[in-house]
Amino acid sequence: MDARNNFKKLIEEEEAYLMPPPEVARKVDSQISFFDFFGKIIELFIPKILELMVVMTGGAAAQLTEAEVPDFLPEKGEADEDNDIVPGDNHSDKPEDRQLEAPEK
Amino acid sequence: MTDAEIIQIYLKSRDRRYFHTLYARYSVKIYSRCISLLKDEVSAQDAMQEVFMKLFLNLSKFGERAKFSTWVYSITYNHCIDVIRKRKKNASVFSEDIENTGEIAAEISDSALLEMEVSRLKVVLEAIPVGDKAVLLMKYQDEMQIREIAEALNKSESAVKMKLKRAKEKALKAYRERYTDL
Repeated sequence: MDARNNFKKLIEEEEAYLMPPPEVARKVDSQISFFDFFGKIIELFIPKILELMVVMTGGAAAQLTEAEVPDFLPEKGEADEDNDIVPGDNHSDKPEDRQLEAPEK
Repeated sequence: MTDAEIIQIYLKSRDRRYFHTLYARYSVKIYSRCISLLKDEVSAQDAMQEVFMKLFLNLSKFGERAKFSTWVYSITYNHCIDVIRKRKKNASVFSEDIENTGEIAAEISDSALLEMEVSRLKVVLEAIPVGDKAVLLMKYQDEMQIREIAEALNKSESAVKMKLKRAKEKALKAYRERYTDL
C-alpha cells in the first residue's frame, strides 16, 4: 500500500499547516489535574470513610492484615521460650522471695 | 522512547510529563483528523479535548493489542462520528447503513483511489458522506485492519467490508462526476 498512497500525502500536507491552539492543551492539562486530584482524594479518604461507616453501623474495624502485623510479635501458637512471665503475675517460685511476699499480719 | 514505554512509565509513576509527551506526539494528528471529519475548528478543538480525556481515562485499558496510534485513531474516529450523528439527530452518517451484507461483490482496485492526485482526492473525500470518508481514511490513511475498523465503529467485520466497498464506489463515482480521465 505504501508504493503510492496519496491518502498519506494528503494527511501529511494537512498536518503541516494545522496546529491545535495552546488553550486546548491548557484545558486538557487542567482536566487531568482535576482527575488526578480527585483520584488521590478517593484513594486517601474512601477507605477511612467506609471503615467509619462500618464502625457506626456496629461492625468491627478492619483487622490488621498479615502484612501489617509487626515482625516482633510472635506468630499465633508460638511460645517465647525466654519469657515465662505472665502479665499481672509478680509471684516467684523461689522460697526466699515467697517470704518477702508473705502477707503482713 | 516508544509510545508503549511511555505509557508503562506513566502508569507506574503517574507523572503527568509523560502524558504531555503523548499529547505532543498526537495533538496535531488528532486535530487534523477531527478537522477533516467535523469541518469546523471549534468542534474539532472540543472533540480533540474529549478524545484526550478518553485516552487519559482509558490508558490503563490499552493492552498493546494494537499499535497505540491505531488505538488513538479509532477513539478519534469513533468520537467524531458520534458528534456528527448527534448533529444529524441520529441519522445515518454512511451512504447506506445495511447491516445484512450477504455476499460481497468483486473487489474494487485500491490503486484507483490511492493514486488519485492529492488535490482531487481532497475534493472527492469532501463530496462523499462523512461516514464513508471516515472508513476510507481509517483503511488507507491510517492503515487500520478491518477488525480494528469494526471495533472503532462497533460494527461487524462483514458490515465494515461492505461499507468500505460502498465508500470506494461512492468515491470513484464522485471522481468521475468531476473529472474525465479515469
